Amino acid sequence: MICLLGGLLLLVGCGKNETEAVAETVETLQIEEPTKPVTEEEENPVEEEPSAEVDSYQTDPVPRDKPKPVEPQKAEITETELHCTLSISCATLLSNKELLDPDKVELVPSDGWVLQPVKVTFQEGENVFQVLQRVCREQKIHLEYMDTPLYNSAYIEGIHNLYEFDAGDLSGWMYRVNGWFPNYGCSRYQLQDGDVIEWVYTCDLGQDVGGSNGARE
Amino acid sequence: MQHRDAFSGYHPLVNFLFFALVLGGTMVFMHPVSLCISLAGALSYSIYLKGWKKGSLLYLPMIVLMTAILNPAFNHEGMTILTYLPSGNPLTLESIVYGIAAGAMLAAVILWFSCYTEVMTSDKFVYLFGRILPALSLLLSMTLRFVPKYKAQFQTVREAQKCVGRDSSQGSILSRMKHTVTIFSIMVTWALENAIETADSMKSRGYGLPGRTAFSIYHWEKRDKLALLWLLFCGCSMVCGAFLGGMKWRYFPTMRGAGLTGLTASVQLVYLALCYTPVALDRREDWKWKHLKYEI
Repeated sequence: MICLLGGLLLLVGCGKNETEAVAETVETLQIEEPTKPVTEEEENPVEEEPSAEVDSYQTDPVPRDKPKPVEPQKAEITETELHCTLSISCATLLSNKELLDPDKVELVPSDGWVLQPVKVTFQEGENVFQVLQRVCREQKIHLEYMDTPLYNSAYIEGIHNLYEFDAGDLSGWMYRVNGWFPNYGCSRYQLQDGDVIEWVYTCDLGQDVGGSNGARE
Repeated sequence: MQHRDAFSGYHPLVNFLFFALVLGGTMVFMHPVSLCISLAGALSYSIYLKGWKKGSLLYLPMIVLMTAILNPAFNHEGMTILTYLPSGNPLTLESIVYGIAAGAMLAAVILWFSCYTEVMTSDKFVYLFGRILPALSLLLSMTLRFVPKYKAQFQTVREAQKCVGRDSSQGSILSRMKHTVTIFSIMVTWALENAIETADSMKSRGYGLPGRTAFSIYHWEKRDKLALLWLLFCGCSMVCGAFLGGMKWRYFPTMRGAGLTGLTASVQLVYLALCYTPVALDRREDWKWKHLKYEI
């Protein structure tokens, strides 16, 4: 009887210690977090943002010379009219026709251009997705997208009836602005005057278009 | 008017093979003509079996309408853009047509299954599969038997309670709830007792022992042989025709498929003949009876 009681006490004691230890670590974490990034940023600026500053959508650090994501809900669209260039290409499918769904081979244009580069007028504050959607409607190009709240952006599932996974598990649409594949969604990329947007179809998770972003490393 | 079904009198193997072929064909062939054939065949056989009741088939257009609306809400594939949905995604002709096709397939499968339950009674199923899958066929037939049995018992209990003024439709809300709970409790008690009795009864009758035979009145006759040969012929030509592309149809990105070639026409005709086999047999028998009556 006494033995059992002792064991019970011991168990209770252990449990108590453990919870206290957890509480302590939580506290220290809470104290450290806000101070650390501030000092780092002020004293020794690095090439990439410190990882402690991830936003609520877990975006990886954006290179210093590239534009940071702007949430579409916060973007202010003004009357100012600016211009950019937009193109849609599935040239990678020309050399990967054996991978492509046989029913969709006829959709691939002979030169790979779904939309040749065109100059597009947009209003200041608009993002890549808004421009793509508007141009696709005007040019009568099929476009299907899905809103992904997890990344606060639209995800392009298919353009011109060419869908993700139509040419293997690693295929889908990617976008490139001024030669750089942004590491965040197209609804969060706010356009600047003169930007060059290219939508490209990849069959190899971005490797065949030069935009793997280290996904396969 | 309800008729005596001649096809049900055929050997269970013939019945089962027919439904296996027809259900398989309905689920595999998405060619619009095949879907129409299957739906028409199922509809006429169902009406022949169960008679034409007003409103009993109202759910069929509802199913088709539902899928025709639901599919384009989630599927935006297709080259023919009709308009844009409020979400910004396109509404395409192909997705609507595919929705209608899927609804027709669903309706046809439901109709064929409703005919299946009429024709393939549980003793036929146990007769066919009692040897191969003894446990499963027994379980299936017992489970399926429980539903009507419970329904009947529930009705009995309710009526008995109603006599003493304790039905779930009598009294204030609180007493109604009480009565419902009582009826439920009676049902549970009865079900448990019934299960024990069934188990005891089955055990004493030698269920589960090796070498136990089951009574059946099914004989293999010449007409069954002919029907089986016909079904095998239909099945083989359908499979061959499908492999040769006679039933091919694609809905995305543009609608296209096997056109009106000799192959397609012949395969579809065989499919049509297969789907109308029971109705044709029934009609023949009706005609024969009528003729014999006139001769008297």
